[in-house]
Amino acid sequence: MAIVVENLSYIYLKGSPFERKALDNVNLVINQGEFVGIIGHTGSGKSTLIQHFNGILKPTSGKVIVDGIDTSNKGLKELRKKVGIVFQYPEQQLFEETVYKDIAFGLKQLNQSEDEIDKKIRKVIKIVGLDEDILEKSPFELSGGQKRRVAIAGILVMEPSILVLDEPAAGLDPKGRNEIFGFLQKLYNQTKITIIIVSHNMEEVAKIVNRVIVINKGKIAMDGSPREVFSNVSALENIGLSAPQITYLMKKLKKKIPDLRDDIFTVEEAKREILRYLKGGAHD
Amino acid sequence: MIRDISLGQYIPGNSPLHRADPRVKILLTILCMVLIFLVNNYFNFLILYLFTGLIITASEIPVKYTLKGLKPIAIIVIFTIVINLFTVKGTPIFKYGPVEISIEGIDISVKLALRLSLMVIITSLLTLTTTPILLTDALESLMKPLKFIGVPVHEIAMMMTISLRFIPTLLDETEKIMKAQASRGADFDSGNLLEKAKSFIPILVPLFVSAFRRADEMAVAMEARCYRGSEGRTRMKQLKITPVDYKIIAVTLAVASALIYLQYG
Repeated sequence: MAIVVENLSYIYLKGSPFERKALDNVNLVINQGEFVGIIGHTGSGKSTLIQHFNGILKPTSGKVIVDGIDTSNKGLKELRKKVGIVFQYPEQQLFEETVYKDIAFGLKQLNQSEDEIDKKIRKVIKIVGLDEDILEKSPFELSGGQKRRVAIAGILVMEPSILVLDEPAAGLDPKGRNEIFGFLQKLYNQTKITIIIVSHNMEEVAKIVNRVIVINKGKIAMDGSPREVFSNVSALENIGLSAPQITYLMKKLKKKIPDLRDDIFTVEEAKREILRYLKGGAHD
Repeated sequence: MIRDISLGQYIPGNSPLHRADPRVKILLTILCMVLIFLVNNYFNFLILYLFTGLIITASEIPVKYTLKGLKPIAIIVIFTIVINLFTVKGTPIFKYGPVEISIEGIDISVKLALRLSLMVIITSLLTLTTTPILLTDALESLMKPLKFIGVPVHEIAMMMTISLRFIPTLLDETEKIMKAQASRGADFDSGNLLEKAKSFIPILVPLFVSAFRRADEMAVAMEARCYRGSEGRTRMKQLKITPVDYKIIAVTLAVASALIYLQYG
């Protein structure tokens, strides 16, 4: 199950004075089981791009094919089940009286049996790291981080084979952020579904994804492993982005200690590298 | 989706009409409305239409946009034409059973259509060249005299400004929520009327929640900046009559007097 994007362009308000080109001839293939981070400036077109993955936006020109389904066709219910998109601030879409009902909303639309729904909800609430007793509470009395996880559970419960999250950690405190990225990592390791994260936060992206796509002004500027992308610091800075802070630290250290590696982008890796140097070990 | 509706319909520009004082524009629009109803022969209508063409040219707005406003009222226009066509009595020129069309009927319906269309075109020119904020500022300024009889003019204007300000925000929000719920499998198009109405609950609840939150935040933000109503409040951007306005007033008055002379002279 792959996402194939061919010559995709998207223009907002085409034919009016407010016309704006959000995507410009994008070509992209995302394979099953990839963990992709999409990074880019505000207004670079990354949110527009992901909304094409389940047919919420239709291409102005070009094609998006998900698992053989052309998204410009009608009857996208099947596709929406396969591709779950968690929008920015998803807690704003909660509306039911209880958490349970809210998570069940998607499944009810698919006419699944009560038993089935119940089983799935109890499973998914564990995946997002919440207690079962939260299910009977109103979603409006939860904390921000809890609401966010309930909203994500509402998508996850449909068991999509591609999960797309737009800034899943925006506006959360460090603890909430770690929890979100923690369960995404776990979810990926356990199920190997395709996960696509749109983010500003280089550190987090670097830590968990295995492919980074950089979007700039509606075009794909860079595409590769985190190592490839983040080692090209000057190119990132040219489009107003940056490498993870730890990479900068390692680059500065390398100036003093030429023996250190500087193609490093997670704290964990940096720790290992510095310890290796201190112990006088060789490169591993 | 929803974004395609052009609400408020302001089109940015720097034409004389854009730069003119909004109060002048409102008053002249009212004058034009009066003229539309004073004028009663086809030659004068021609002059009025030519004058409107002149305004459209001066506004530098694509004709397409000025005519767009006609679409929603087309039904009303057709309806009134039909009613007048068949009900006005006079010299008959067409007769079929009880149905009778008279010359007077045709005359009245055509003029009615001409009037209605012109009204819409001219008023939409006003909103096309004036930002909603300027429009409410101008209304506040024009309605000032009403303050003396106890009308809370400033508050009304402020409410209008805020509601206009939030139309695009709420539209964006609605679109976002619709997309989010659609991603969860919500279906807004199929089913019978009751099911359709029900399918809007997942949109309305979050929309209300966020609208109340926004209203709350806005009130706090305004009070934090010492907003206390109209008492002692001054403006950063004063409305001022400029030479452009005199020119526009002069041209319109000239056309108006010519029309009145032609009609009644």
